[in-house]
Amino acid sequence: MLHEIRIEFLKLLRKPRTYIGPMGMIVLIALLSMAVKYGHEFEHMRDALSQEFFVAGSFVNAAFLTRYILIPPVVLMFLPLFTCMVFGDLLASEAADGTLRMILCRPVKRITVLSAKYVAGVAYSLALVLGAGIFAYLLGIALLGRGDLLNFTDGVCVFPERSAILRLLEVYMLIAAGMVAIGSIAFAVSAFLGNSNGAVGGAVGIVIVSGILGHIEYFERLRPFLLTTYLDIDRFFAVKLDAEMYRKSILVMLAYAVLSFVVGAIAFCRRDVLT
Amino acid sequence: MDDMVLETRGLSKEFGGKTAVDGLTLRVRHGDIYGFLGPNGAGKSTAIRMMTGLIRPTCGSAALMGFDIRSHRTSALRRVGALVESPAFYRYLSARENLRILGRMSGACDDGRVSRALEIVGLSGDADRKVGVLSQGMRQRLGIGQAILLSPRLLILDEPTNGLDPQGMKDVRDLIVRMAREEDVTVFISSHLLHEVEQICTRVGIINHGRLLAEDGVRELLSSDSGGIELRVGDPRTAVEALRRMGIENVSSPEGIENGRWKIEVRDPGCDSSKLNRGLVEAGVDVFEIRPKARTLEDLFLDLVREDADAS
Repeated sequence: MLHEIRIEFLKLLRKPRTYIGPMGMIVLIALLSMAVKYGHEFEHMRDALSQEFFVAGSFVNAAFLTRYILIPPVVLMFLPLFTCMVFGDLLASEAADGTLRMILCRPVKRITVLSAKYVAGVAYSLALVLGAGIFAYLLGIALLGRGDLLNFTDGVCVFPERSAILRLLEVYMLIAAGMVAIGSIAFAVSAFLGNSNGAVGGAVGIVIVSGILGHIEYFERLRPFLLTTYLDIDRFFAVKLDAEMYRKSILVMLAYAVLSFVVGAIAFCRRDVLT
Repeated sequence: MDDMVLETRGLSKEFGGKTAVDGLTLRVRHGDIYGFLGPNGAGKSTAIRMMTGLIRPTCGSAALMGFDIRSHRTSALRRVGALVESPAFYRYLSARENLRILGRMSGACDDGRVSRALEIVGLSGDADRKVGVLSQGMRQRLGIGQAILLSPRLLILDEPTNGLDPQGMKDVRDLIVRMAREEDVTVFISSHLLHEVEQICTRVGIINHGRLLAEDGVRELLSSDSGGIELRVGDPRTAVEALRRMGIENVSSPEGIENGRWKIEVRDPGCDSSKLNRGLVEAGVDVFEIRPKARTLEDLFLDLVREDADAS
């Protein structure tokens, strides 16, 4: 199994498609950091705050940037898209190119091949999300400096720098788990379709539909089961972290990931390789 | 039965109600170079995919090296090298890296084996070039290279000379014969190039519409007394009439050759050449030559396929 995992990592690192996500996130974070540094929006915010509070130093800092990039379009669109592009491609592109046929003619179990690919996909998702957070924080230090995190989720609250880093880490871990869950859906879809575009479209489509359903009152009873319910990360920046909700969110995402993997594995191990 | 390297029993596959392979039962013994022949769409590749575990049979079974491919997949494939249809590789990796990956997927494979395989298929000089820039012929050779990578005992090659130039085809044929003779490898090769199969194979199986029409040694199949008789005569019209009077109907149209001589083929099986000669001479026909027609694999193949088409 270790052989196969190492091979999957090698292939992942050598595939040009792998770098689209990280490059996209770098560009996005760079643009957002410029907006934070030079945008007037935050000056107005500072002025408004100054009327009620005494603001010492700048709240526009590395922690703020790392928090600020977690806007819904990034969490619900770009990260899922970049994750699915790789996760969905792990099986589908090999099926389409015929390399899967070459591998499966060899004395290796299908479940081993599938698991190795899945491990590579999980590692990629974690690296993409946590890498984005680390990059944002380091870029923030370089451009804006360090400091406490000012957050507006639960009124106005200030996280001292150390607890801000811890909270950011917790939230980024949650998002990484979410991306693993979404990537797993793409992985499962690709086991059925054998087409990476279909897998990306399918998984991102599920996230979008899930997000829409979560906002419609009629489907309220579905909310606890929708993945997007647990990607509403604002609630995790409350002064006191709702540990129960955090644990539940992680469990739901893990359940999505495990279920998707099992469904994908059943499909993959039973399917005829015709390409 | 112990020397059976590949065996299928009633192997069948249906796709959406259409039968691609129908009750295929064949046996490849240790040391055979087995030619698996059939026209395009006959079911050769589907059968090979079932033998290598890529697709699940609708019914029947296949065993490699004595192991059932469905219940003991990894054991069955452990000493098997396979090239199923056109080879596919990671285009962004070099030829060497591709072989390394495929080799390691099969277990232990050191760089020495990779280099050796590349050398055998004549790709040592291009080993570090990305597969994406290699020609189709080079990729085909690399496909054979990955099949022989781990010193297989059984080599399954599906149309291995596709895309190769005449020299490349000859090289592959020589390689197959050399591996069979010197390295004790049993070879199962599918092809529609009958001349190629006739040159190198010891046994053949002929498939059409998913059914096995014939299976035997090449010599046995070709020496069967059904190749007909070739005549060279002086008066073709009288000769054909005389043959008809003798009750021989399956006669080719006379074909002029040289010096007023004509070639006629008598295709009736079991025709006695001495009776034929006597009958023609009595009818006043000059008989210059009379000989059993050497049957080629192509003749046999076409006859079987024709008979199969007539029967269905």
